[in-house]
Amino acid sequence: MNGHLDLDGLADVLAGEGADTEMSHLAGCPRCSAALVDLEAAQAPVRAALAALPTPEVPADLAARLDAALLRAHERSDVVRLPQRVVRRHRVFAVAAGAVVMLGLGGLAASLSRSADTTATTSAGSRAGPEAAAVPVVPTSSTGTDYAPPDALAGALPALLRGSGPRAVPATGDALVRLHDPAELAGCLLALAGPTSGGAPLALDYARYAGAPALVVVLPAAAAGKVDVFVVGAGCRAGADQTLLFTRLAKPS
Amino acid sequence: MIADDARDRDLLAAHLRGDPEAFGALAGLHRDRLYAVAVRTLGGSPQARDEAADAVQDALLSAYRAAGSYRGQAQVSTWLHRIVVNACLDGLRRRAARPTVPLPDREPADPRDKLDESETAADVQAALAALPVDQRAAIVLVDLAGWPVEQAADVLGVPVGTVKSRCSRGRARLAVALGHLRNPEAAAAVPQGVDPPRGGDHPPAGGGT
Repeated sequence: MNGHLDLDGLADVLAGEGADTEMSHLAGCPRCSAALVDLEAAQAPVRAALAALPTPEVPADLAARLDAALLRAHERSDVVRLPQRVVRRHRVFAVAAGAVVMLGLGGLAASLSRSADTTATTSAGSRAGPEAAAVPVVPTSSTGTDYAPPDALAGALPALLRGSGPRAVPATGDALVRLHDPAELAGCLLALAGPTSGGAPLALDYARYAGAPALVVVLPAAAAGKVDVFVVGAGCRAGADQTLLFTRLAKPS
Repeated sequence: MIADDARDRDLLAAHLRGDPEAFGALAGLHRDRLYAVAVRTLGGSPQARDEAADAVQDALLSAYRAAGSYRGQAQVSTWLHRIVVNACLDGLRRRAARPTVPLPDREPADPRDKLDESETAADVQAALAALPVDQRAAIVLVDLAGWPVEQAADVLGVPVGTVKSRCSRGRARLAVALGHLRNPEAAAAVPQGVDPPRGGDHPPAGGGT
């Protein structure tokens, strides 16, 4: 080995972090001294090149994803924030609530299966029989509306909650076909609502967002008189909610 | 910065008292800067953009849950950056442990071609992405995000001297890759993209005096 400083050694010296052996070599070596001067001269253009890099553009959906994730985290954490005195009783409640969600999703799956058998039936109101009475049907629409920008959501909400929008049979090849499958839909809802949330959705709309197929899910909100509206991508599944938009709206009276 | 930190601490305290809006407000204040740091630490590719969004969301959720463990020894923004940067570095190290498709070879630019034109942002981005991860993370915080070296050291959990060394070594590699050295051969250029021995383990300079 020739003992000359390599690039890292020169860089360390430049940073004031050179080892003693490097410093003593440098003092007696014209070649390394010249290389150090060369490297020092390159600092300004390198810093200028770095400073000129454009700031990465923040994805439009990042804020919505974060808001939704934090809101869900908050609603779940309400369980553990109760005073110690009632924690024990609350644990029982939490287990019960989890069971209700499971029942809710199971019931939802069952009701959607039934509705698939009777596509001629278009609204919950016209449904008859003891089973239907036991499991409320989720008002479901297939408006195909593009909700970007989301201003139209509040106006559409009353019709969505009644399930009175169009209810088209999904076309083959439609990216949302998968989410018409009750089991797939239940996985998506579980990702959205979390295991301790309030239960089955209040409304669904197979729609679009910013040109892409999207599912609108209206869930009960923790706040009184409000509903939480999620617009999720067609790939929504257990563990990956793919929220494109989240907004909390006043519940229509 | 100090006024900002007082505001951040107020929001964190409000969050711990159960204020449902406080953490969202805190996240909103830091979200964009955290995202920029994450994208660049992850290498800036389109894939890195998706990963960065996930990293920021996961990091802020874990900060949300761990807020009670924040002891106030660092600024809140330092604490948030540490969680995001660690998430990115963990991801990169896990990926590095698996065999991957090598990056296409990029010839170091010829300085003679650079006399009259400055490099494009894409060249700089590619050179930055080719740096060893630790050097890139230090440069992203100090040179791109504009953090003082001391705070970057807090974020990365290493001594100040190590951050200085990593930044300087990274800039030296960028100088080679972007053709800013008049005589690149004089500095025995280390192989690009390979982690060198870390600080304190410099090859002995020999007793050539």
